[in-house]
Amino acid sequence: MSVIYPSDKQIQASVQNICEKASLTRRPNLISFLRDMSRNLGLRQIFTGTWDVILISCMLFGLAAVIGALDLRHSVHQLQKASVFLFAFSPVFLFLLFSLSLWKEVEGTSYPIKMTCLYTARHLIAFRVFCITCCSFAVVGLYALFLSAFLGLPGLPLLCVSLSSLFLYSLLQIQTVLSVRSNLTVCGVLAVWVFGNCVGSQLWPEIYWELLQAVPAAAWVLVDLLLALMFCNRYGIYVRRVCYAEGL
Amino acid sequence: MNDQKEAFLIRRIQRQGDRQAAEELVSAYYREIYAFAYRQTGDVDAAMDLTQEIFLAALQSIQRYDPKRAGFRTWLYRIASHKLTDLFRSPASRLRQSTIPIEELSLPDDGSPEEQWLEADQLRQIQLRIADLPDEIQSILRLRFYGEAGFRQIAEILALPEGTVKTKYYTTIRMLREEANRQ
Repeated sequence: MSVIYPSDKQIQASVQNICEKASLTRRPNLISFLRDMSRNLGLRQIFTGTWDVILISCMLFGLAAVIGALDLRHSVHQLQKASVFLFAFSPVFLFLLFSLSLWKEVEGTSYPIKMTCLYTARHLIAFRVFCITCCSFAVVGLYALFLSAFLGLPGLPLLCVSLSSLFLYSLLQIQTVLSVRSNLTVCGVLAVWVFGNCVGSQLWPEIYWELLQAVPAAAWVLVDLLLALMFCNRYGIYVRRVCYAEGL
Repeated sequence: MNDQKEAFLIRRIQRQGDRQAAEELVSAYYREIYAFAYRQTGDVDAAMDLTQEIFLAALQSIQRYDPKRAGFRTWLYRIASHKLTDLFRSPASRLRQSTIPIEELSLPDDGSPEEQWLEADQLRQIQLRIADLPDEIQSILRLRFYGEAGFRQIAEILALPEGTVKTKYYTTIRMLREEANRQ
C-alpha cells in the first residue's frame, strides 16, 4: 500500500503543535528537589509524627556510645580500638533512624493525609532519607570528636574513619533502596550489614585495623570525598526515579 | 540521524526541556511513524492525528526513557503500537472503520477506482478482524504488516522472546487463513 504523505508545511506545523502541547519541562536535579521540598513542605514538617522514633534511636545509640567510650577508656591500644569501634559503630544511628521511621510510615494509616497534593509518600521518604543521613552525619561526627577529646586521641583520623564508614553505609543503603523494591528487604540487608560489622569488629579487631591502616591517614579525606560524591550521584538517581518512575 | 546526535538531542530534552531539540527529534521520525499510522488508517487526517498523539505521549514521558533499556526508535514503536491498539479497541473507532464512506478515504492516485476500492475494503476487513484479537497479538501483527518490522525488532519493541513472537505470529496467521477458507 503506497502512503500519501502530508506536505512539508503540514508536517512542520504538526511538529510545532506537538512540541507546544507537550509542554516540556526541565528534569529536577538534586538541589532543586531538596530546595523545593524544604520550601513547600517546611523543615518543621519533615519529621512530624516520628519524634518517638528519633527518641528511641537517640537513646539506643547514646547508651551504646557511652558504654563504648567507657570501655575504651581503660583499654590499651586506644587509637587502634577507637578507630575499629567507630568504623563498625558509626552506621548504627542512621540504621536505627532509617529503619524505624520506614517501618512506622508503612504501618501508619494516617500517613497519606499528611501529604500535600504536590507530593506522594515516596517524595517525602526520599527527602527524609537525605535529612536523616545529614542528621546522622552530625551526630556521629560530634561523637567522634567527643571520643577523641575524652580519650585524648587525635581528632581528625577518628573523624575521617567514622565519616567514611558512614558514607560507605549510606551508599549501601541508597543502592539497596534502588535495587530492591520491598522495604522489609532493604531493612534486612542493612541490618545484616550493621550487625555483621559490629560482631566482626569485636571478633576480629586486628583484621579491621589492618584494613583501616591500608588507607594512609592523609588519604582518608579523599576517600570521604569520593564516597560523598558517589552517594550524591546515587541519591540523584533515586530522586529522579521517585519523580518520574511509577513505583520504586 | 546518527545515534550520537539522537542521544544528544534526547539528553537535551530530558535535562533542559529544550524545545528545539524536541522539534528536531520529532521531525526525524515523523514520516516513519506517520507511514506506520497511515497504513492502518488509510486516511491522511486520521494518520496525522494519530502521529501527533504518539509523539505527544513520547515527549510527555521522555523523562522515563532509559537509553540503556531500548533504542529510541524501538521505544517510539512501542508507544505507537499501544496507541494503535487502544484506538482500534475503542467502539467509536470501530464504528468509523465500518461506516467510513469510500469517498472520504484518502487513496493514492495510482490504480483504477475498483482496485482502490478493493484495497480500502480489504484494509477495513483486516483492521476489524485484528481489532478482535488479544492486545499482544494485535501489536505483533500491526508491527509486522504495517511497520514492516522483522521478528527480532518486534521482539525488542514488545520486550518478548523472538521465538514467542514467531510462534504467536504464525499461529495467528494459520488461524486467520483457516477462517478465511471456511468463509
